[in-house]
Amino acid sequence: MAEITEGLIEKAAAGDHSAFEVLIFPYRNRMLRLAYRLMGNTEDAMDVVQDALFKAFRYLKSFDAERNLYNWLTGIIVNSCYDQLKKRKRRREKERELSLNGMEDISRTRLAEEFSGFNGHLMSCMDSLSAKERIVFILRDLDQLTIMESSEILRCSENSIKFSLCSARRKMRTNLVRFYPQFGSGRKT
Amino acid sequence: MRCRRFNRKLPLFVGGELSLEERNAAEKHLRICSVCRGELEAYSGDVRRLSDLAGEMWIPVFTDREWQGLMDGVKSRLEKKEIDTSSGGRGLQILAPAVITAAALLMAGWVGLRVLRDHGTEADAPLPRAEISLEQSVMIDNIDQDIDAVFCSGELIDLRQVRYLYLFKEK
Repeated sequence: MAEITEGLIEKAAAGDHSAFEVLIFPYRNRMLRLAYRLMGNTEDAMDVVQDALFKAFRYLKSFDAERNLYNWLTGIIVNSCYDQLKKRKRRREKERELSLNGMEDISRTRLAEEFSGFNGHLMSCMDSLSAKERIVFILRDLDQLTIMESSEILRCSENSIKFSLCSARRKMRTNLVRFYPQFGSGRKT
Repeated sequence: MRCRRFNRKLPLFVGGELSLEERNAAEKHLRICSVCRGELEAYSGDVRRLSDLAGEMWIPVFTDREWQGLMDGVKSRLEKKEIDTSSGGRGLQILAPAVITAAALLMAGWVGLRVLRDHGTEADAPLPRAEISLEQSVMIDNIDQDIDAVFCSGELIDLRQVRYLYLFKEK
């Protein structure tokens, strides 16, 4: 299996599009799921996956075969999302400022229209996290990656990951109470 | 470990992400603190609830058509990039001789001007460049255009020479 994968990587790195497609096909839905959780909607998620695959094909020559291919792809997806999430956060802050001036809260309305049920609640709760907290929370708690894998993907120390994770979980717990009152029951505060 | 520190570490304790040393300290604290035990129980319950809810989460899946469309998009971007790169390279190959010739001509022109400025022609030779300071040159710049000549450092300067004074200033 590893030999087949290595052969495909070599062919794809040499410019064979078909080999590249065969190589990444098993990861397609996992990549989409991650991008969806990071971006919050399918349309943006598909754009991110396409962008990530374009970059992955171009830089496949630099891929170290010793590494896990999915983790490498995850790194590219996360980087593609990171800037967009930061830009989105700034945009939403601007939108909130506008809503304070008597305008409708655009971001919240849009979220309500786009999502329903737990998906909508989760996305809404994750909205208050910083880009890094959101990514760490998704990688660790939803995508079940280890702290070490997350730190490799985000290229930061394990302690930094733990710090962001801790902060993200606290915020998520507080935010989830808005939709699920049973959360946080028995808390001191 | 005290309650405040334990509470700070609680999300990592439940996730099993604390170092062995910190974990031992947290367990030691739990044995003596009923408040933190209650907090741990509440937090663990929330983690379970979140896990149950996450199981109900809708997750997008590629249809064959969407996947094919996405891959077609990737391929067309790659092909466009390849064309851009190769046409850029071909363009450079065509332009290279012209660029080199233009650079050589510019260099020759620049050297010629330097020689002309440094040595001048016979007609330029008597110009009193060495005796004119920058300050005086500025004064000459400002004089009325109706005046034909000025005295500068004891020399009469013909204002037809003003352009040379600019050269001198730049030098």
